[in-house]
Amino acid sequence: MKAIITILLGTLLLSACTTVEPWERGILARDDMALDFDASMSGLQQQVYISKEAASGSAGLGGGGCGCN
Amino acid sequence: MRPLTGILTYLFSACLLLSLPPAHAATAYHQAPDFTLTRLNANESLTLSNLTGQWVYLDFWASWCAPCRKSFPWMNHLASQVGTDTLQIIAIGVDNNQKDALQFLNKHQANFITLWDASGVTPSAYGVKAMPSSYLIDPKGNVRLVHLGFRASEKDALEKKILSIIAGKEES
Repeated sequence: MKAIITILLGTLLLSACTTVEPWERGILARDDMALDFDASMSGLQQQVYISKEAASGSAGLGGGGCGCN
Repeated sequence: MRPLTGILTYLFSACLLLSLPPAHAATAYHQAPDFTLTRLNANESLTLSNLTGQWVYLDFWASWCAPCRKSFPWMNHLASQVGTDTLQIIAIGVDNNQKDALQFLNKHQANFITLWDASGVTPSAYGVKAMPSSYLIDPKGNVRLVHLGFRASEKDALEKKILSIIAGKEES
């Protein structure tokens, strides 16, 4: 019985399981929807972070193992 | 634990099925889905099947789509190169808000027909996979070329390809 109820509930929840079509991405394309909407600000934050952590290259681009950065 | 695994498998496969692309997407050598839409800058509608006997370049665009801003000058260039006797260029705006589409047209001049479809029915019928997407439709109403996106580096090659398909020199 429990399993049947769970499946029924799960099927109801499937209405939320959909793909956003390419022509429906108007809101997603807005600047304020970007994960990184202010490139200069995040660059500055990155600079502060790596100097505080004393770990240059720890985020994103790393060296090739030559120990030169 | 077993029933839970079963339920999870069921939900996962149901999600996968729901996310499958439509099977009726317009592809090369298939009949282009017909539509009747209103024009954005004129108070009249246009039906694709009324243009049978003419080559049609159909483009899907939106005001929020960055590459579409670049494709408009190129479509103006294409229109001036070939003329409407040879090729009708039709651009369908898919904005939810007509005001956004009209604002876009104020900023980006369009020397071709612009239509509006906020319902999503037309892009869905064509199975649009990217913005912008364009379709070259031959005089019999068959799709001959599908082009996804718009990159400045591809525009010369695209123009060449369109012109050679129209001239009958190249198969799509």
